Amino acid sequence: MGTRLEDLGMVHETDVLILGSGAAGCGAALAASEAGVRAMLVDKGKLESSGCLGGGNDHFMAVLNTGPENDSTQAAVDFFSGPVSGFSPAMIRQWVEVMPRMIRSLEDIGVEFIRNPDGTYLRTEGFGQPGNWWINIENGHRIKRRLGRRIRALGVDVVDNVMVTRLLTAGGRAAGALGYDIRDGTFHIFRAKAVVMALGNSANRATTNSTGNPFNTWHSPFNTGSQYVLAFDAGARLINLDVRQQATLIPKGFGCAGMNGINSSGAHELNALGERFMGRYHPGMENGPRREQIQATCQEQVIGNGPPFHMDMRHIDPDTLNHLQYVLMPGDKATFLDYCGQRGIDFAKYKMEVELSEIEFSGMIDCDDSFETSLPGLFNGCVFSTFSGSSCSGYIAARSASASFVAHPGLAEVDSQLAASERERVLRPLAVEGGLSSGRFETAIRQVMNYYMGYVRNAAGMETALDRLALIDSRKDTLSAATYHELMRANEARHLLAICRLVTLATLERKESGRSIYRRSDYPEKEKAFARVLCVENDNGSPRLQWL
Amino acid sequence: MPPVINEDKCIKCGLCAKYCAEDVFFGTRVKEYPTVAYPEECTHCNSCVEECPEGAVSLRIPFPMMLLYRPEWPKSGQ
Ligand SMILES: Cc1cc2nc3c(=O)[nH]c(=O)nc-3n(C[C@H](O)[C@H](O)[C@H](O)COP(=O)(O)OP(=O)(O)OC[C@H]3O[C@@H](n4cnc5c(N)ncnc54)[C@H](O)[C@@H]3O)c2cc1C
Ligand code: SF4
Ligand code: SF4
Repeated sequence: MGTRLEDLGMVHETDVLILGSGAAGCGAALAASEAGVRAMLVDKGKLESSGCLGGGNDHFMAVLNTGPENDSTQAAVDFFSGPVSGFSPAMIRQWVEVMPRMIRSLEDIGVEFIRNPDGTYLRTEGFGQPGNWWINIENGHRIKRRLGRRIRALGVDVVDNVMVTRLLTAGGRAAGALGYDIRDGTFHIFRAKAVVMALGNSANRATTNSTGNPFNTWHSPFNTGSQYVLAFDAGARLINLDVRQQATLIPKGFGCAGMNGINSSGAHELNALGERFMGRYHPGMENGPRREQIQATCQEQVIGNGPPFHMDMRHIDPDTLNHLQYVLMPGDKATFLDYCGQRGIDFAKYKMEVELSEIEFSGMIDCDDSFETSLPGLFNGCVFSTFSGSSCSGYIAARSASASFVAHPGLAEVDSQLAASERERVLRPLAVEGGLSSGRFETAIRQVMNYYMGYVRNAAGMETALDRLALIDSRKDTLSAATYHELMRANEARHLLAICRLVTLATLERKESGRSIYRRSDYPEKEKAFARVLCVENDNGSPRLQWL
Repeated sequence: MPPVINEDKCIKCGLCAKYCAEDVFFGTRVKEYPTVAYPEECTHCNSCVEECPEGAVSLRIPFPMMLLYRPEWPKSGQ
């Protein structure tokens, strides 16, 4: 007799299964609840503190169509759609349409968007965008607590502390997911009519900043690429793994965001010679596209004009600086003031030392204008980045998902054999004695990525990286875990390895520089011929690359 | 910035462990002082500090961040 699903673990049934309870998952939960469908939100963390929003955010990007041309839907379409963006104008229009609605939802739960005396929002510019698109948030650090409470009150089913390790498909459609409880190993089987992928765009821990600590990152180190790996394994097409790699400047040794506020306040970046060097690289200086500042800083470092690098803010008016250091920066990461205290940082009096962050790998699950991926029934909740991009993408994806299953009203059967073998696979490291710890396994991956996939790369290096990563892959079955916590890290490391192989392969294919934060020393110029999207598909277990 | 628990203030409610997205307090038992099992994995998100009803958690800056610490600099905000 075959194994019964109930004997393997807990079986859940829902209409829309939302994987990941970060900003995107929360946006998705709001839309599903509005649509009146049953929704289930699953995350390996806890809803009230999970994801990049868990510690707080201080800016929300919103194009509000208030009149000026640079505050219009068209300006957003012009800015975000490009031949390599992966976004269609229709996707961007939906984002802009949902922004005010998301702001209302956030204001309803007590998030304070700062207003001018005349009642309009206080907005600043950043990232080389044409308008003042960033609304400042006053009480950013507790947003996630407030959202969590609201979502539970709306009756969305919340499953905390479950790591998702596999998507289920049936008859060519997404049909649910499998996962296990990170604290006690209980196996979970989720059956659903539609699935929203909201596991985060950033894949971290593949490289480190100068501290060498992979958890001291800009974005949440909890994300190691599951969004892409699960989708790829299930047969959905991925795009932009080659270009959507990100980095930032961080206060020296302190993995935290905030450079948006610092740059847009008018800070000058100085090299070790005290020169404000950005003018040699980009007319937008420190407020050009982020990748230009990263590449310029990297180039200065390569030729020996740094480290150290500093942000000099002493010329900026004291009120702005006070707000930046004591309100906005801690709104992003509350511990910023502890860091300042211990490092003696005072924006008004001293230059602040900064460094290049770790490189974060990213990409996109390819999707159509309704955010449905190439696997029917699977929706991409993380199309756009940032708090606004994620929450609104999640919202749009779940809105489409909720409307989609009218045509597919039933729950598909789950293959219990497959579920049993997945359970065995994810729990296996607990049974392996004396094998590779997840820490050592991950360190090996990082050694390869730090060395060959850094800010400057070439084909020979990337080919070597692929060889090394394949070698690490061959040791996958020797991963061993002494506790459930280590088991989670082991399963994260498996995802990390898989995403590192895919991004390296994709980067090797893009024989040019200038569209991402890295430079290829063997192809230093930007080429018109590469103004195209590269996609990666699963061809019977092997990646197949194709230019769209 | 691994958390440090002030046991004089802690009432063993377990909220810090429940809210830590990184599972840094793995193994913490009900009604016992929280265990900081994986300090090097703390991403200083501040959730445990926020959730503690007694103000018993503080975060400390680990060694790698401190390397360039200049004690003669004045403290910020003064
Ligand atoms: C400190 C900081 C400050 C920031 N400040 C700003 C700001 O001011 N303005 C702004 O616009 N943006 C800001 N950002 C960026 C913004 O917060 C993020 O872009 C956004 O929150 C991402 O949301 P997400 O839901 O797409 O991804 P995430 O928040 O990364 O959520 C993904 C979720 O998926 C879960 N997950 C991942 N893999 C699995 C798995 N296999 N199984 C189960 N669960 C899994 C994770 O636990 C996580 O909760 C900041 C980010 C950080 C870290
Ligand atoms: S600061 Fe965040 S990551 Fe660190 S222990 Fe506290 S809750 Fe966990
Ligand atoms: S939240 Fe505070 S009081 Fe509760 S267990 Fe943690 S340290 Fe102790």
